[in-house]
Amino acid sequence: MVFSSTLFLFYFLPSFLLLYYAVPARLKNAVALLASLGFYAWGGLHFLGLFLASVVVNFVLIRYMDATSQRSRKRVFLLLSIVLNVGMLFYFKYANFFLDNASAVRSYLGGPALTWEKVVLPIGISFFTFEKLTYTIDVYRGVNKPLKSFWDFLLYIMLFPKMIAGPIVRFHEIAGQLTDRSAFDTVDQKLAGLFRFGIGLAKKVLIANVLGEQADLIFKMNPATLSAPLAWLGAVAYTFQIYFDFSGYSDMAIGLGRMMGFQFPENFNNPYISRSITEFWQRWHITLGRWMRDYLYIPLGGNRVKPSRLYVNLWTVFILSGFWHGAAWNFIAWGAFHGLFLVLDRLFLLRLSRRLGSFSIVPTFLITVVGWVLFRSETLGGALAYAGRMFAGGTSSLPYFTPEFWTTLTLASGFAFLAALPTVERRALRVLAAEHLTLPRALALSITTAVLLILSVSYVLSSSFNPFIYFRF
Amino acid sequence: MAARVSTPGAQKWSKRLLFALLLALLLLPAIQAKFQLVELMPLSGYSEAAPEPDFSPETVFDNSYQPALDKYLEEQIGFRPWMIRLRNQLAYSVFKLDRANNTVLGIDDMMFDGRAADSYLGRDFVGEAEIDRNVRRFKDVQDTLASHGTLLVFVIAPGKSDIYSDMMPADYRNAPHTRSNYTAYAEKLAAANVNLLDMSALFRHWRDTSAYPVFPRGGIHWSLWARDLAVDTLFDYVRQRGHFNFPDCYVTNREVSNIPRDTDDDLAKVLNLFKEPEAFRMSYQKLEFTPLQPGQRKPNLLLVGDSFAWGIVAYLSSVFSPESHFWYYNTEVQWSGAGGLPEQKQVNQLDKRVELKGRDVVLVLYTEPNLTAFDNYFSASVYKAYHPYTAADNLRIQGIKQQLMQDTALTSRLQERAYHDNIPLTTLFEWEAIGAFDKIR
Repeated sequence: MVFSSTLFLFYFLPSFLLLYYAVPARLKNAVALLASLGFYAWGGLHFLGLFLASVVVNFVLIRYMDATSQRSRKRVFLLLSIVLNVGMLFYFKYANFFLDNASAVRSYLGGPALTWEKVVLPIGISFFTFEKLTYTIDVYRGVNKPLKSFWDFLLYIMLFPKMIAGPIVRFHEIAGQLTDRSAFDTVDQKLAGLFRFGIGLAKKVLIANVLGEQADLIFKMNPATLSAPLAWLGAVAYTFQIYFDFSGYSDMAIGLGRMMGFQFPENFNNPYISRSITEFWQRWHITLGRWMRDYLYIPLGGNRVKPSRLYVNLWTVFILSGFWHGAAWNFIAWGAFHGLFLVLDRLFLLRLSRRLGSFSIVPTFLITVVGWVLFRSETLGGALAYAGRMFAGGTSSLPYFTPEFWTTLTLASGFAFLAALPTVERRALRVLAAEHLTLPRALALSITTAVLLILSVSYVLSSSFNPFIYFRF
Repeated sequence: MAARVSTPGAQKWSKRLLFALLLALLLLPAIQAKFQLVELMPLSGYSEAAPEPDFSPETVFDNSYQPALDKYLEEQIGFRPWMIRLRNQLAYSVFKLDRANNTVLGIDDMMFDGRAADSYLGRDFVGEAEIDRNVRRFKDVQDTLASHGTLLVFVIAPGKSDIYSDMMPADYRNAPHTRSNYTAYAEKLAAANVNLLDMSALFRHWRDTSAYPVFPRGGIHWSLWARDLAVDTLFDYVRQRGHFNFPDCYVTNREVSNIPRDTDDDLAKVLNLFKEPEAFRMSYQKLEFTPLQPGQRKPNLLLVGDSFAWGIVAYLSSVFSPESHFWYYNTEVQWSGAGGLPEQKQVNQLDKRVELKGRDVVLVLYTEPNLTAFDNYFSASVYKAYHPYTAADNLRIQGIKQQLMQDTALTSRLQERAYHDNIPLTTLFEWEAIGAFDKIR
């Protein structure tokens, strides 16, 4: 189920909230769990059984791990859990990729191509696998005790606001809230949560979708026919589309969480005002960055290794991060591209950007724009051809784009870059993170929420309504 | 973890009320969908409605029910017309954009059909060879019908983009303008001595001389004012070319108004705005016809055409006999001079020779952008009725059939249809081959 669908906005969400608020505290988890199961089953009924089975096995393994006092036995359970989760991810997400490549190599060597039934990707597997792993590792490390109730564990994994696209909530960040959310069960949190949801919906529908329409058209064109300005325009439009889309989804998840009494971690912090790629990754998909740091980079040795090893580790982590985003060479290349700049940061770029001060926002942004071309293109070859056009030079004029597109692009740039002014960033933070609302502020927030919801819904409903003037045979 | 902040009672209740109102906002559309509490003006235009999905364990498990229900609920949700009008009004008022399917907003809010605009620029040009073939066949049919005492006339109704090309938006005005279907057909039909009434040429002239605009601002069709001029001209043409003596027309009930009527705002309506753009000031009148005089008679007419033909249908019974018919897009019988409609309405099921027998006049009327399909297979089907296939033709059809059977995409499409309609696959290939042959015959 998509947050911006009619079914979710007008049937699922209000019914769920009414029921959730109506039941006593001890039943809220049950209501949330049932809703989450329904939410997942709506798009992934095929996988529900397998998914539940994997959660049960993981839960049992961790119980055994916690029960044993021997370090070596703990390690066995840890490895079993990791192999189970990573194995599932590998099979469902990467089997097609590896078989595709094996088939291509075989064909290249003169053999017949491989044939197999394509493996279908279960919804949200990348996110919930990482969350299951944090539970395993946090308990193994002794950061948290395992949950006593299987249902609470299932709720942690399945909680519908963050299940499909994050934020990736590490177990220790939410462990306490799974059993007691009374601290956040206030009307201010609910109002702020709904406001945040409205902001997220508006970011996705009013900005990302409008830019995405044009970006899609440009990326669909044969790269050879693209002029340099048009190629840049497509890349920039996609740069803002992916930010407003993904951060909008995170806003909606965080807002829904707040309405339920959960405090999910922030996932974005104005990434396009970063002054280096290192800073970009502290502001972009923050929960993934933290996951990668805590569960991959640090176990590989973190910063406490010799520089050459550190660079290899950094690069490895980012290549894997790229691969996590998608099972295709262009995602690997995107990870490698960012990893390369992180290594260059450590070598000399950070020093240079410090000297440039706020001007370094520009080159950093341009690097991310080029990176998004790798991410957006269907194939690595297509990405390289597209990027080639961006740097081919030339000043041909752009074809016609609607004033709505240009206005949206300008607004998106404004929203994305204004936070470079510290006062704006502080003010935005105050509004988004507010836990206590004065009545005038609550009123202002409510009016803004209503306006954003109405506008967003009007965009959603009209997107599929393009009538013809007359019926024609 | 932040500490819980308590608020004074009144404030707390006010905030609870605000939250409840916001929740009500989310609930209202579903309530309106169920109970229709508020009566809303329906949306204009034609779109395929999503059917109510079938609920069954199979459809749920194969995941076909869920997206179908999503789509269905989206169309049924309450206040949808308001929401869509809001989006369209914002796009129109803020960005001067229209969001209807394939419409173009020009200078001074002049609205165009996007397909017609493309056609004017020659983007859908079908090629000289196809046009030559169609013209040759039409002329052949004209001569054949003439030998049976039937007058065949081709009428090109004007395209708004052609008449008001200077009012199209900049991206169309500056786009390359190549040979269009209209230009080629007008030239070749005239050169082949086809009975041709080129309304486009007349409208270009009338645009500068007429007292009122020949196309409305918010309409795809000729204005009602210009439509009446066209009817008068067309009937005169038929009268003179066919040597008929039928009633004359005169104008009554003339009114001037800027409230558009009938098709004068068909494009504006489909924009689905809260407030339609202001219409041109237009003259609306009624054409009356003198009673049948001694020596006069009402000819038997067959009218074949697109939606522009509907504009003249209202006047047909005053001038033409009750046996007259209108074949909309050469696909369906949609009007009969006797009132009511024949049992068999599908034109492709009718025997063309029987249908044409006794007709005094056959008018084929298509507007410029519809010339991509010329006369929608009318002259081809009549030609076939009078010139059955020869042995050589049948041989060629079999050759085409063999070629088509190599096309895997077509084969899979036809297999599906054969299964669905219970028609032998070989028959479907035969039909495809005949269709392809008729296009090049």
